Amino acid sequence: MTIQRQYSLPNCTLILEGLGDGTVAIAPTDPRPLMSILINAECYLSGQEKPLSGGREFFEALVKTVNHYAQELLSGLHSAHFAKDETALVQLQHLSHQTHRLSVRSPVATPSSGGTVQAMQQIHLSTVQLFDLVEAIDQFLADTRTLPDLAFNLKPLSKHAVARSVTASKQVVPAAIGLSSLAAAAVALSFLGVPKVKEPTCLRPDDPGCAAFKAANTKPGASPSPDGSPKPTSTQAPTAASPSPAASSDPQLAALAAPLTAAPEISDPAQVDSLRQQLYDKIDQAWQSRSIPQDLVYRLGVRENGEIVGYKPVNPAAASYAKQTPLLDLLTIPAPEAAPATEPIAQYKVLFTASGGLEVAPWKEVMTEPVAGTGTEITEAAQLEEILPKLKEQINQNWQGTPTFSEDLVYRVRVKPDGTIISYQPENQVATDQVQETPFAKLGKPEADGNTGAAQEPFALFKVVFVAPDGRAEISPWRGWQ
Amino acid sequence: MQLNSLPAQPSIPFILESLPNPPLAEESCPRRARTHIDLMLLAIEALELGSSEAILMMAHELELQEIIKNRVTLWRLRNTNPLRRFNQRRGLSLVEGKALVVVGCHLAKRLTVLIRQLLMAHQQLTEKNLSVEHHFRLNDYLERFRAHFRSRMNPRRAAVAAYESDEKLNQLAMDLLAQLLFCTGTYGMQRFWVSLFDGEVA
Repeated sequence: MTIQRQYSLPNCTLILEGLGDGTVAIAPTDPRPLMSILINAECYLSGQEKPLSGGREFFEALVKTVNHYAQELLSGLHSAHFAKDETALVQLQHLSHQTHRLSVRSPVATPSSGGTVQAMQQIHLSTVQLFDLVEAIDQFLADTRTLPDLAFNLKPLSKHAVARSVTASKQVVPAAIGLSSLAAAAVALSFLGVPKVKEPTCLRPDDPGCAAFKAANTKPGASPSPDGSPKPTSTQAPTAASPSPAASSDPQLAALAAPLTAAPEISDPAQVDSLRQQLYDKIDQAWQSRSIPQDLVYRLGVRENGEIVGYKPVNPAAASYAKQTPLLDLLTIPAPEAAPATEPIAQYKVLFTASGGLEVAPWKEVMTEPVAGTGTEITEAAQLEEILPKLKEQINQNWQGTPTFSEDLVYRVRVKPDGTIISYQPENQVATDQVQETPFAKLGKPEADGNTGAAQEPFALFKVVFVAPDGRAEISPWRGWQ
Repeated sequence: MQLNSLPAQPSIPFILESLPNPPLAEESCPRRARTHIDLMLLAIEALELGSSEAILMMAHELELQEIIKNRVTLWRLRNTNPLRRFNQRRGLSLVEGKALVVVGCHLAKRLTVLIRQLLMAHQQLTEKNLSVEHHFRLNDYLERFRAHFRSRMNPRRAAVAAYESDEKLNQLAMDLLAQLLFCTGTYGMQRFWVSLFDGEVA
């Protein structure tokens, strides 16, 4: 006895004809007999007089192709294997954003020659029609009483299976140079030649670059300037967070910092900004672990093409925990023959925060207006308890308490020990929209602009919520009472 | 005071089990997944007024309130989208990602009729060479989508700057609408979820 199953959607009707398997008992939940052998499959698409039809081979190809294509449509990525397969019985191609071409090859008997030729049937489907085809197939796949050997089984495409042309246009992390250890980096960098620091630049014993370069030059493995000619060097400006003891104790880190002093600087503000954005994206993508015990600050040199050519830890922890940042993996080691010192670089301050945040700012900007997030955070309950009333008083004085907003506004506020607001950051969308209504419009600066307070100054973080609808302000330590 | 009883194990809601864990090195959603999930929800918000409220209600209905607790949690989860102005720079766990996908797909299912209508209208307008302004409801959706996108995404991001023109944003909105349609199907949720990890697994 043949069994017929039908799956109907507005633009597509799928009719399957097959044979049952008498040996299988009828399931108590579904009295329909089990169809285990497919004889014929017909697919009626709206606007087409004749259905697409074929046996098991055609139907399997249809299911497979439609599955793949639907996934491509959702992810926007193309399977390398799938794209090439032009001999497939059923194919789907993207014609435009809203038109898709379904092609089916079917063997047609030609009476004149007595043989068969491949006939190609092509149908243009709109997205809605295509969806109905996908849905008819999904309904079949979900039906456990019809060909249970064909079931829904979808897996993400692997990295290798994604067509190359697409991945290139995607923003992917540039292939990281396979350096995993500081030692390896130092050996490679020894070819660069470490710039000789003129003695007069080491005016103070705690000059940040000074001790470090000395150490690098005396390191046996790192021979300075293979060609013997001294590279042009510029004197290094004293950095904000000046003594970097860990850096000076580690000559290899000093070698990584070498390009920072040796190269001319990129000064075009537009270029500096676009490189900053690029750098942020690069590090943000590569920084997977996001767990560091405290804030780490680095000074980075970036070439015009976005390559990171050197970095230097600014605070002591930055040297100790460098391996927990993606910087080493992202570092590009220039070829030995290239003259690195002559290629201009832009310098940035990169801050990895203990909470997993990332901040990137042009180094010059950081230096001229000394705002840096290097201060220590106050987390002691007793101190927080002291600061809280001061903050509260300030907010209450500047807050009329007649809100027009209907949802709670949540802010993270950075506060000096005396209660002065350094900066604030809205934590929800309404808080962003309504900031003009709050006292922060007068009292602080948005944190997003890099206003994280003066370097080295301790700060405390508070959560301030303006509660709708009465507008009372609730203030609590950002990390709770510990 | 110390409590002697063990804290209750956070159980994973049953509904999320229908979505498989992709074979990733880390148990969190990759960048493209975080972006895409948020954009899908943005498209839903542009389709229907009050959808941000509907997201929370749906989360409650599906008993996902442990994961999507309130407006602020939802905002934080969605702001893991790296294109956001207030990008949270925290990860989105697979469970959180699944919860957002399940809620989004259920909302899309409710909007199936509207989604189909708008897609068909767009097709017809294109065939007749007419601009989208000729269809009130479609124009409404596109306008709202553009406004949402521009107010919430960070224009300094290269990926956002690429959508500067109205045309480009309209195209994105239409692509998302088509994808939403595929989310409404029998296996729509699974299809969407799996597609988020294309090219991410080894």
